[in-house]
Parts: sequence; structure tokens; C-alpha cells
Amino acid sequence: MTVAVFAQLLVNGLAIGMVYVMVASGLILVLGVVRIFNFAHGEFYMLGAYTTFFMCQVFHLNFFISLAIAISIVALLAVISYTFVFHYIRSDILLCTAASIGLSMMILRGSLLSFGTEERGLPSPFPGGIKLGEVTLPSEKLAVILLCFFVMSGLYVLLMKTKLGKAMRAVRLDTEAASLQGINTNRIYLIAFAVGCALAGLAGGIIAPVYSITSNMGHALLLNCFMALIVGGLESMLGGVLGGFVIGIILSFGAYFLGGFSEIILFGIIGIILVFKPGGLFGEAVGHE
Amino acid sequence: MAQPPKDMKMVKVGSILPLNFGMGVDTKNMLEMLVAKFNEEGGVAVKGQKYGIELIVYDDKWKAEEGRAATERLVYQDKVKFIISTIASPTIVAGLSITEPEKVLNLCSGTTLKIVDPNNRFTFGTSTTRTSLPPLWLMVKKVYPNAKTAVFFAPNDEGGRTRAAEEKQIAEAFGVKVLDTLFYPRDAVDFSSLAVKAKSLNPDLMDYPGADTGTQFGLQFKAIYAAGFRGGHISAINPKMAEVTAVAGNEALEGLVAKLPDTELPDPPPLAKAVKEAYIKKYGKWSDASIAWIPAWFALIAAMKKADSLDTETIADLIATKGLQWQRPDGATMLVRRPDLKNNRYCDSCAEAGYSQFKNGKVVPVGRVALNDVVSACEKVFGGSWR
Amino acid sequence: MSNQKRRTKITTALFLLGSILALLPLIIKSPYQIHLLIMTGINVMLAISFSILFSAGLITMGPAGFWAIGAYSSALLVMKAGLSFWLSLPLAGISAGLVALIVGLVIVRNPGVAFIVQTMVINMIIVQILGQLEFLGGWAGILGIPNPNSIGPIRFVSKTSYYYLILFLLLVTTAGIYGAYSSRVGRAWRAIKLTPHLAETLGIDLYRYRLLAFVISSCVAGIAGSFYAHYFRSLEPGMFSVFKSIYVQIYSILGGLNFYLIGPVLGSLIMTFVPEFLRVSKEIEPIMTGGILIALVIFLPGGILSLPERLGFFSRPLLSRSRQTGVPPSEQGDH
Repeated sequence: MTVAVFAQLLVNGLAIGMVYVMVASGLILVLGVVRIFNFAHGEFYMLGAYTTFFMCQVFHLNFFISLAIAISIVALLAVISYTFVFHYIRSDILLCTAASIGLSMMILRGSLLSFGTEERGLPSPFPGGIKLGEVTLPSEKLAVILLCFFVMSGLYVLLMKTKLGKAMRAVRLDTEAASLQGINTNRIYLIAFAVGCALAGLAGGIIAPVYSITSNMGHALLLNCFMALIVGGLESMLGGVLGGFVIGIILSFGAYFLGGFSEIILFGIIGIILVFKPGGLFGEAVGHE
Repeated sequence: MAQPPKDMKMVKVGSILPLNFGMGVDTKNMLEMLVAKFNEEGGVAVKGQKYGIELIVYDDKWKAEEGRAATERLVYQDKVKFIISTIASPTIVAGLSITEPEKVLNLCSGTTLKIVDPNNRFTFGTSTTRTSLPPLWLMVKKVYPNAKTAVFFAPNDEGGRTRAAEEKQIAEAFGVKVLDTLFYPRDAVDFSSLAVKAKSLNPDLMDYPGADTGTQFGLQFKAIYAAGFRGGHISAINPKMAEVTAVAGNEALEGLVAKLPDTELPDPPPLAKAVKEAYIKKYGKWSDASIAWIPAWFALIAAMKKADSLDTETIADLIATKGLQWQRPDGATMLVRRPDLKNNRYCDSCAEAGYSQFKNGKVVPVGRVALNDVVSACEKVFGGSWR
Repeated sequence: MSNQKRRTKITTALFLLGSILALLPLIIKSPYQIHLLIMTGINVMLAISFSILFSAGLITMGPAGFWAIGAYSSALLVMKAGLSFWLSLPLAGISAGLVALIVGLVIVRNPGVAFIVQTMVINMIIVQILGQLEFLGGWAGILGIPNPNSIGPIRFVSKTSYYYLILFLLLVTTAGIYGAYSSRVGRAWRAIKLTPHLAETLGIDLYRYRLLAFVISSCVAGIAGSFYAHYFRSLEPGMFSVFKSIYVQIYSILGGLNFYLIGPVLGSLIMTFVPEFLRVSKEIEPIMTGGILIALVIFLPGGILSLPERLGFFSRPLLSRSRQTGVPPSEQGDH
């Protein structure tokens, strides 16, 4: 394998990885703070992509403005979903699973019927590439890496340095203690859910020009996203970051070397990780007893 | 739409489509338009009595359980004797254990080889997927006479693997060596790694057996172009150019030889024109129309007329032994035997095929393979007498 | 009312239910509806499989995987090894149980979230293996699976015979599992679910009982798989995806998570019949099914079976306190 090939595969893996990092982080945030597993998470990713597409293509807005609008709309939808659905059943993870499946069914079919059956493509705001010897590294993928990096940095700042972030972390650690400290836990649940879904929506918007925009895009992504969570562990955000990168790199390099069998290898690696570290690489070694 | 004539009796026809995918919804819309138009224009006369069609469409979400339940409902509750245009292999296979014993005429649009299993009596394949490769390669030899090597991209599912294996056999029969077949997960969107690998093999041609027709197809072009490939492209299917160019851009598609339906010609032949106009009249646009999965409809009416009967045993045995020819928006079609699959009934379909090449951002017709030549090419490649 | 009278009432109700079920095929003539009942029956067995583990405090996201093992084993045993269906049925259950045993030795050590994730991965791995191996049919699967061998005059051609077979299987399973729940094993499971620490101090070996639950649960799924293979007559890996496992969870949830035997029945009935009734709404059906699912989960979090209680039909709670917790304690920790 030449340096050129390696560079291409690396950039590709990092770009895919960053998207998984963002989506997985959103899912883990919701799982950690609100304690629900949102199977409709992929649908918010898809809605972010569609919103960005419509803002760019129909209203001819700047890409970044479209992203901002996409985050807002997805966050709004998340707030509505939480208020009318998850708020009532938050304490029971199985009920939330069932409800999120119902939500996913509704959003998925609703999108197909409202947005039409045509699959969409968004011209990239970052055309061209950077020449590296005989290879051109696509600017759009580099842009994805950079944009996601900024967002994740922002998320880090939010969680570690702001009062809101500290409140979320407190709720994640111990809800009762947090409320004793005067934190409005219900509000934190709502905000955390909205932020988690907005992360997914933003990821969808960022990646929209690189690939395509279809109603099923979230569904397909979610399965691989689970893989990232399994690898990184469900307990920590760092796990989500690591898991996302591992999945991205494995998918990129695996496809090159193994083609169709890369899926089996992926599962094999995950299986092995789970045998030795059942909670994932950054998870707890054993479950609660 | 106007009401059908009052002295018309209605015959129920069922269709099970994946309404969770765009292609399913598009096929449903097309079929509903065709059926309504058909009824308005007087339906079909069988033994002197006029019959109209009542179309019942159910969703199978591309899942075997749903497809089977839909088949059971169509056959036992709605009491249909005709099912057309089923696309999803899981549904077709799961439904066979109902449709065959219950003598339901099943004209499938799907691609699975199980449709042309010799044990079937009432099941026929009306889609040309299984027979579209030999004519494509005739065209390839014409447009890319100097091509010696090819690399395939194929989805890692039943259809993809079967098509890739078949096409490899055919390519090599036509003198083109297949350097490698690169498989991708069924719903992949990222093809960069595969593209890098394909480019490193430096083939003359890229081919895409079993590919989707929409943006996923386009993403493959985008990736392979980004990897630096500038050779030829071929495809046995008719891509949805709007979707493909939206993600790939015109340069990436340069040189693509693909199937061109008659509806996309500057001056379409009568049937194609009529269908297009009726569709635009009902839905306002043509861009989301799908004619890939509707040959079964035209086959059904032709079969009823030929047998002058609505009895499925009569129709099935007649067309299985005597064959059937019919017109679809895509040209003349006929049923063929598949002796290479040990099936001497007329069970599969061949159709005349028009091809285009993508040049400078435009889809340019490059030629047509007549129906007889298509069948001859198939006979040469697969073996046996198909007529 | 007294315990004795209560028990008699419940027994009579069950007897009536059983009679109605047995006589249904005489009333319902449409093979389509019998098909739906048969599919419901299969789903009930899968939901019971889930419930067995749930009663021991474990949530599994992989029942479809063991269902697949049972289905494929049975199909292969009959088609390749020439065995009679009546032999391959129990063997399918055993092979599913064996796989569960091997896998369980490792994963049962980690209950809680780790277990959920691991069962999901196992489900996915099973599907991948079934799809990649050509001798198992690959992604196209296995076709032409024969119907069960005739026993005496009963030939499995019409749906009615299949219906009675699944009814019989359900009866045997329910009786067996009810026996397990009433025995020392069941009490141990309930104790483990309620307070694992306390159970341990009482000398209950958590690991062994959990493993037992996992194996029994998988056996039930395997037997359901064998029936499914010979009823459906074809198999393909896509039928056994993680999404099916999630639906199995929903069957139990809708019926009532705390009702380990009747809950699955009601939940499966709802999730099998409601989408079929809604077929008339064609393409918007999932929107309606999704909406109904959400509504049921919000307004009846205890499942359908909590309805009589909520409406005040019983002066005392229907279930003893030990069965009332909705969520295994390992999940409740930080609330």
C-alpha cells in the first residue's frame, strides 16, 4: 500500500469516523443523562440532512446558515418528541425503547411521503481537493473532519466548562443528588435530549453534501452507530468518540482489504472486544450487580 | 378521472410493493395510473364481456413476514387470482408456497432466480434483469471495442452476488477479463475505499451489477472519479439520471453506457409517449416516474387476451407452452425458456433494449439491440434454445 | 375475594379461553386469519422467551438470533439429514439452548446494560454468519422446507393442522414455564430480579440461575424457530434481524411486562393484528401503527393487562408485590 492510498483511506476513515462520533455522542448523551435509548436517533440525523438540503437548494441559503437552521428545527422536533412522548415514560427504559420505535416508524414513513420519493444530492460547498503527490484528498471530507472537530470541541466546552454542562453531568451521575442541589432535573432531561438529537441532525447536515439525502439514511447509519457504542462503551462520551473513530477506520480500511467481508470482520472484532471488555473499551467491566 | 363503462365487470388484481422505498411508492403510483387509464379506455374483452381491473396494493416493507401476510390476504381474503409486479425477493419466495397451490397467476418483477424454478407452474418473471446482460455486452463491444479488463462493484446480497457471477461469465465470454469484483454492504454510501482499490487495479471498464438506480449508484461514480479513474463505465440498468447527477456531477458519469428506456428518447414511440403523457397529466411531473417494475401489467393484459380467458390454469399453461409477446413502454418483450436453468417452460422475459451514452452532460442514444438479437445473445451465452 | 375463589375464577377463565382457542378454526374460515393467528402464536412463544429472561432480571435484545438457530437447525436436520420433523423440533430447541449455554457462560456474568448490548451483537453476528455461509443458503436462504411429517391421519397441508400444532406447542410451553415459575427456580428468578444482593446472601447462585434462564429462554425460541421453518417453508437471514428482536420486546411490553405468560399473548395479538387491520390505509399504515404504539406505551405503561386494575376492577392488586416492579433493579440504580 502506497502512502497515497494510505492517505486517502485515512482521510476517508476519519471523515466517516467523525460523523459516527457526533451521532454516537448524541446517543450517549441522551443515554447517560436522560437514560433512554432512542431508536429514532437516526431519524433526527436524516431530518437534519433534509432540512439542510431544503435550505440550501430551495431557499438558496448559505451552507452554514442552513446548518444553523437545521439544528434549530431538529432541536425543536426533539423538544416536541420529548415533551409529548418521553417525558411521561422516562423512568422505564423498555417503554422508551418501544416508544422510540413507534416514533421512528412515524418519522420515517412521514418523511418518505412528505419529501417525495426522489433521493437528493446537495452540491458540495467545498469542491475540489488538496493535491498530495499523485492523489487528491477531497476538500469536502477534510471540511467534514474540521467541522465535526469544532462541534465536538464545542460540546466538550459545553459539558465541562458551562453550568449547564455541569448540571447535565451531575444528573448523569446521580439524579437525586442533583435535584437536591437545586438542579431542575426535568429541564435538564429536556435540554440533554434536544442537544443529543441536535448533534445527530447537525451530523446529517454536515455530511449531506458528501453523500446523499434519502429517507432511509438514518436507519442504515443507526446500526453502525450501535457498533460504535458497543466498542466505546455506553457509559462515557470518550467512549463514543473512540468508538466512532474505530468504526470509521475499520470501515474504511476494511472495505479496501476485504470488501464485502468487512462486515464480518467488524462483528468479529466487536465480539472479541466484548469478551474481554464487556462494557466496551471505555465502559465498566461488569454490569451493576 | 372518468368513471369506467357500466357494463364492465371488475377483476381483482393484487400487487405487493415495498412502500418503505421510493421505488415501491413510484411503482404503485405508476400502476394506479395505468389501471385507471385502462379502465377508462374500456378494459379488456374476454369472450365478449368487457372487464376492468380493480388493483389492490399492499405494503411488504421488503420483509418476508409482511410479504407473506400480504399474499395470504390477497389470496384468501380479497380472493385475487392475479398478482403482478412483486419486487422484493423475500416476498416472492415466501409467497410461492401460497400462490402456486392456490393457482394464482404470479407475474413477478423481482430478480430472484427462484421465480424461474422449474417446479413453478403459475409464476413467471416479467422483468428482464436476468436477461439484460448479454445485450449490454453486445453494445459494450460496439462502444468500447478495445476494452480488455473490467472491475465490478456489486452489493453484497443475493441479487448482487448472482448478477456479479453471471456478468463475470458473460464478460469473459465476450473477451473482457474481470480483474476483481468488489462487494459493498447493501446500504453503503461510502465507496471511497472500494474506489481507491478499483483504481489501483486500473481496469478499462467499471461495471455495476445488481446496483440500485438512485443516489447510491451516483455515489459510486463520484467515488471512482475522485479516485482518479477515467475509463469507461457500463450498466445494465437504467439509472435515474436526476438523482445520479445530483450526487455525482456530469464529469464523473462521462462515457457511461446504460440502458435507455424509450420514454427518455427525444421522440418516444406511441406506447411510451401515451404512458408518459398520462402520467404527467395525473401527477404533474415525470421526474419521479418509475417504469422498471411495471412490465407485468402489460404482460397480464396481453396474456388475458391471448388466452381469451380469465382462468389462471388456462392462461398459465398456454403461455408456459406457447409463449407470449407484448409491448411495454420500453419496447417489445417476449417470454423465453430457460433450458440453462433446467426450465423448458416459457418462464422468463427478454426485451429489446435501447442504450445511451453519457457525453458532455447529455444522455445520447447509441444504439438498440432488437428482440431477436437479444434472445440469440442470451442463447449463445447461457446455452440452450430459448425460443 | 379469597385466594381459593380467585384461583378458581382464574382457572375457569383460562379454561374458557382454551376452549375458545381450540374451537376458533371452526368459526374462522379465512386461511388468512388463521395465518395471522399462527404468526401470533409464534410471536407469543418468542415473547415468552423474552419474558423468561425478564423474570430473572435480564433484558435480552437477541431472541431472534436463537429463533434463527432453531429454524435453520430444524430445516437442515430434515432436509440434509433426513430426520423427521418430530425429532428435529426438540433437537432445534436443544441446539438453540446449546448455543445459549456456550455464549451464556461468558455473557451472563455481566447482567444489566452489558448483557443487552451483548445479546444484540450476538443476534447480529448470527445473521451475518447465516448470510455469508453459502451452505446455509447465504442471503437467499433456504427454500422448499417440507411440512411436518404426517402423524396418523393428520397431514400438515391445511392451515388448521398448523394452528393446532402451535396451540399444542404453546400449551406445553406455557405449562412447563408456569411450572418453572411456581417452583424454586421461579422464586429464585424473582428474587434475583428484585434484589440481587439479597438473593445472593440467601445463597442463591446468581450466575447459575441466570444461565439457566438464558438457556431455557433460548430453547423456547429455538422450538418456535423449528415450527416457523416448517410452516413458512422458506428462511432467509433478513427475517431474524435485531429489529425483530426489538419487536419481540414490544410484544411483551404492550401486554404487560409483569405478566409473564398472558402479557406476551396480548402484546403479540396487538402487534400482529393491528398493522394488518390498518392495511387499508396503505402507505400511511406505519404512521398509524407507530402512533398507536406510542399512545399505548404512554397511557398504559403497565401494558394492556394493567387496564382492569387501573379501572378499579380488583380490590387487591392482581399481582403480588414481588411481581410489580416494572424495571429490573440494575436499571433503577440511579433514579
